[in-house]
Amino acid sequence: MRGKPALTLLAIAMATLTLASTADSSTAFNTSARWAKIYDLYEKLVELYRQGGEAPNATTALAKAIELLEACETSQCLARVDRLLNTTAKLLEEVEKMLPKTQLIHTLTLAVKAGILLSLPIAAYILLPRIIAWEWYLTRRRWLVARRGGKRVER
Amino acid sequence: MKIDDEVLAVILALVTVSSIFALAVSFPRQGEPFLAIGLLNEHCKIGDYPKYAIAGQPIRLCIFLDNHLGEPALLKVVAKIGNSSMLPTNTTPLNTTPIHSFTVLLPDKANTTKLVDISINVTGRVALVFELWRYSVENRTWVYTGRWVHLYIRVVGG
Repeated sequence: MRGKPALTLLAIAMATLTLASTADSSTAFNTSARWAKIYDLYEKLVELYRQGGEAPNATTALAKAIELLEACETSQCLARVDRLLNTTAKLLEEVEKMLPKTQLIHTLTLAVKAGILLSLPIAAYILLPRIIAWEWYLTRRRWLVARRGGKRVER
Repeated sequence: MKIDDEVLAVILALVTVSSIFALAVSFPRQGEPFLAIGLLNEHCKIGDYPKYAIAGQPIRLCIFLDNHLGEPALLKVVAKIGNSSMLPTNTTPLNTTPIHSFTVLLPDKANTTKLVDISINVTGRVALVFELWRYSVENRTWVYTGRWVHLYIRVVGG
């Protein structure tokens, strides 16, 4: 009967060791799984970027996740990597949702810019003679007119 | 003050040319895409590279990376040991086992410097090679960019 607690303790110790080794191999597996997730997120990021959807915050979060994962030695660190990867995924989803609006704004901005710049020569053609004529009038409106050879009229 | 037609025509021509130039400049254009890798010393400056190393003891160097691909780039720098007759080319990487590597995600038009500690376990005059690899979204794998840098270093036994 006295040997029973010792056996129980031994069993607990063995179980702990088994769990620890399982956890280690599981962490290693998860590292490769995390890299797979990083590749997926990067592919999504590039796809959005090529369609005109820039995601600087997602890029920063993913870059930080990669930097952390390369140096990770603890489970807390891996948890932080997971949080960063989830943040990146959420940010990319938001950018994807906003993509049609972003593309429309981009196209409109370009069109407005082109319109303004192309209308400048026309505006100059129409307005420039008027501005010059108005300026000519303003500089001469206080002039007093006298008949050639005649007397100046005092006001 | 009289502005004749010729002066007006000149002003109008200047305005037209300026507008077209501004239009051409303001539209987004993608230049020739490229990636760059550079080798710097432990203070991340050019020059004063280590000439000697003790086998098994780390030497510190700095790697400069620059991305002008027009999109974010997932890059990997792989360190390998070569020699004067065994170096990578612009098309093929060095066929030896990597001794160190690190991965970086660089935004477009961004650059970075990374400190690396490399331990070399062979003795003699070796070429410490750093190859630049890029994750290709089209092939879903790492591809060699053809960019590499190297440093000749004499490694002595510890």
